[in-house]
Amino acid sequence: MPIVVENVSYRYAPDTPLESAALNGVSFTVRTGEFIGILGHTGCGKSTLIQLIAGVLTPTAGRILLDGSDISRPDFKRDRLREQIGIVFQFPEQQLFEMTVERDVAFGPRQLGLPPAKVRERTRRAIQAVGLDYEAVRELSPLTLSGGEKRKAAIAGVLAMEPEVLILDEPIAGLDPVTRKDFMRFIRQLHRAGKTILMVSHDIDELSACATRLLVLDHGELILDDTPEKVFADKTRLKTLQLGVSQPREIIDALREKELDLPEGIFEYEALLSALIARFGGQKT
Amino acid sequence: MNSIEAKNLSYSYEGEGSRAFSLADVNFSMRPGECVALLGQNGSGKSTLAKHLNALLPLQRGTLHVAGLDARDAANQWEIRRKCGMVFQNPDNQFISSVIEEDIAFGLENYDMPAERIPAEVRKALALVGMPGFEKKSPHLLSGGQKQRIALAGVLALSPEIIIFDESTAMLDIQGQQEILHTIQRLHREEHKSILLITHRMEEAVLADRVDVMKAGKILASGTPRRILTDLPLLSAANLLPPLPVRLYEDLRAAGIQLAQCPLTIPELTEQLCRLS
Repeated sequence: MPIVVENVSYRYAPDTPLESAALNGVSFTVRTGEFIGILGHTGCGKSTLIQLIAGVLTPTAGRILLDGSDISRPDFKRDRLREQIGIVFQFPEQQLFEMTVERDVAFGPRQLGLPPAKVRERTRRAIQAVGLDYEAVRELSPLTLSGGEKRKAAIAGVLAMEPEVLILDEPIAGLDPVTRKDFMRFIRQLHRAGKTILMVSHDIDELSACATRLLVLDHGELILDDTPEKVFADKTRLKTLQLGVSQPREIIDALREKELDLPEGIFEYEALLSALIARFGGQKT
Repeated sequence: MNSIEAKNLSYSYEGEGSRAFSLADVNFSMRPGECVALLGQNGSGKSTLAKHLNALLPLQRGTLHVAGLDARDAANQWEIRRKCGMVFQNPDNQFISSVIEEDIAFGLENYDMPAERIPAEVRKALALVGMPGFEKKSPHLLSGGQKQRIALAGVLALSPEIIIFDESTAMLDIQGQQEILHTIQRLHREEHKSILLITHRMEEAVLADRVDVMKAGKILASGTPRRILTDLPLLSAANLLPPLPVRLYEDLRAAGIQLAQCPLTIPELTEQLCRLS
């Protein structure tokens, strides 16, 4: 299900003194099965962009085509949109509302009119996927969970919809490190199973390891659109954008600066470890 | 006298559909001027403990003194909040005004500071977070890091002894994270504030004087960053991951490459690796 973003602009509060341009003429195509990481500073337009793609906002100019149909046209069938595109907003825990975690997560699938057994199955799977203990939390009020657990429960509610395209806005911020790893492993599984993923994150380490393509936004414009290898290769550009580099990359760069003979272009942990073993293994220590 | 002294603190969120205990017999203290990092997986009780220190939650069991004030005494509640300020995770929902100076002045007004003294205090607080001249600006037009620093300025205006950062960098971009971390370090070193840093970022925990690890409502361990963050069985028991340099040290060792000392930071790691060659 390709998504075509065609010359899209968005202004908040148009024709008022508070008008501000959030996106300017952004174009790109999301192909089925891609894992796209979206990077950029606070305020660069990342969240606006994904809300447009999810049909939560309507472009002030340009169009967004899902499988060839313009999603902002009145005749677009929006009632099935959430099965096609799921979106996890920032601070999704603010959307929790049901009496129990299970009911909250099941809300979406129930609206789809699925049989109860199927709803239960999807709910259980989604709760486990975010690393919560299904039996321990299902009967709890979501409001009694801790901050991080609430976030997980809210994400489970979107996962339970099993959308073709999953859009995530800073999903792992605020999760503990083990949950982060488990969650990203789960997202990678979804990706391998053919789902399309769009993920906004400041976590360069995770995006380096998972994304097949990166979009970098700056002041509402799409300034880079390439593979992680290519994006991270441009060190001076990254520095001016102050997006930071992954920790493995930082280590390799620091070592290369001290004139240790190591390959360039490494930005994830396993590659770093292999390079160090190749460089230092076998020598006397 | 300790800044924080909690003994046998237990807490349970009441009502239907809640769990047994969120804090179970916690003993916790902080010396004046100490910077303590509090680690633990989601749901381990970090924020529940923090909310006690800020008198946001009433004592159920145990004793707690904050800046010498007994938290059991409801009359101390406002003074405790003044002595122990808190910066939360979401940069967007800590503002009550659309003008920065009014936002920072809010706390001072609530503590009955005479109006003529307020502008000077606001200026001082903005200078402390490295944002002088932002008085008339609007918080919602700032970057994430700037928003958090304004939230911090609102706390600092009340001259607290203790400041709690509850995952205050979690939602920020790299620049914002560094802005906050530098500000925290300056407040710690130059203003001698006691700092409680609740975080999931190991590279932040490394900067603390002491690291405490929570699990299931209890303090599992407490010690120097070096002792705690290199203790793999302990971290694993708490469901935490070691800092990347520690992980690399272990993986290299497994491959027969032994570094002289386990590094905590990237500069330490690169130095050790350079010595190998």
